[in-house]
Amino acid sequence: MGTYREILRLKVRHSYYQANPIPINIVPNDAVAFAAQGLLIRRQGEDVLVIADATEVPSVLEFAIKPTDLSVIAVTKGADWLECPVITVPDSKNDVDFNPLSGTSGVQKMGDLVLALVRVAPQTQGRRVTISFDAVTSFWAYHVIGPGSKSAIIEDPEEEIFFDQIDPVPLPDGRLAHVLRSRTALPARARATQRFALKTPSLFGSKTLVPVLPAAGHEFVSVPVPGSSQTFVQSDIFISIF
Amino acid sequence: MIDLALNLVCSRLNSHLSAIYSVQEDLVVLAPLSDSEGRPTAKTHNRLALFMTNLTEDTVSRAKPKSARGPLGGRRPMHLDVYFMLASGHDPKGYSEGLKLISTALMFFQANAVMTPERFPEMPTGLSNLTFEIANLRTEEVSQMWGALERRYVPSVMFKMRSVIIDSGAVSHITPLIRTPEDTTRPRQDV
Repeated sequence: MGTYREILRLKVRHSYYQANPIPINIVPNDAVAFAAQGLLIRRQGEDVLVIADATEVPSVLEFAIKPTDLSVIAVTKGADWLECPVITVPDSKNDVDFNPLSGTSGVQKMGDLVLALVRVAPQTQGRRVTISFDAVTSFWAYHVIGPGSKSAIIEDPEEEIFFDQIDPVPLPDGRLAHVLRSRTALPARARATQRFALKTPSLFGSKTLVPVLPAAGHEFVSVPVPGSSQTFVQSDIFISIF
Repeated sequence: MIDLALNLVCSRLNSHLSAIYSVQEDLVVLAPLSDSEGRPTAKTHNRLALFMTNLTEDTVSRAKPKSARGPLGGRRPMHLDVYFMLASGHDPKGYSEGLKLISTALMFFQANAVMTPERFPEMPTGLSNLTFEIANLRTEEVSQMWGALERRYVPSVMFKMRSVIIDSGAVSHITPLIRTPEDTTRPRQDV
């Protein structure tokens, strides 16, 4: 007792959450075996630490990254609702990207979903591992409803993102939503940096209808590419003009 | 934080009113109807005045917030309910105009009862989820409120905005990652 030392420090980064806390818990996949090896797990800020009392460290540890909010799976690129993706951290590398193609391990349990399983070898002198998750990208489709929606345009003050008007979409109540979709796919973010404005032409230039449009949420739809069997991911954002 | 939240509300409400009535100038100002001596403020003349009327702490217990502070101990953040009034500063000739602006403002709050960084990307860091509901006042409460404001009643509506979080980040102690049972009997050495 009293010789506890850090043998592993896991850090998780997620481009969706960036500096905000990621709603996940990192837990040993086999808590009984973990405890039997005399290991303790502690959280220090955004890091998870494994501390050991024994002189010998286990050859490999397996952790489950469990979302405390299911939107984590929705916004993570490559996350799988059906199978558990596995991240195997090579001994030679301490910074790894989430790559679901490296393998899966069984099916997801309903009510106990896992973002990823992490297999990593700790080191006696302490090892620091960072796992990076990327956010999904989608084409942002603003559905504009109400007077003036037909002539509405979207302006990006940075002049980087442009929007095209596509075919209007009939709403269940019979009204038409005029749709403006981004030409490029944009990454989902908990706090979007884009500041798109909805404007309409007027006698004196343009009139601002909405100074800062909402950003895409964490609900996505698959839209078929016209004339193709492929699909792309779209975020539907609804804007009402009064 | 209170100022940031109310400025965001005021700014977005102005955009909403400007888009509907095609006016360039602000129709809502974040200012009291009267100055400290009870005189009507010029800033609010023929506009809607948005001003705070009360501040209460929301004491509903919450799960311990996940923060990046780790082993640093401190007090839980303070969750505040901010009551604010939206009142017409219109003179009698513009009474109907004031009612119209309040109706349009109510439409804004009905459509945006919850403000999140997703719906309002310019929401300042530190604010994450603001909800709005009308604070219903009984007739005698309205009378007391306007008495306290030292003004005659004007068309107005009071909202309850929750939850503005105040967190100074002050550290009171450090929780060790691990300690032996005898540690608890020793005088604290941390901080």
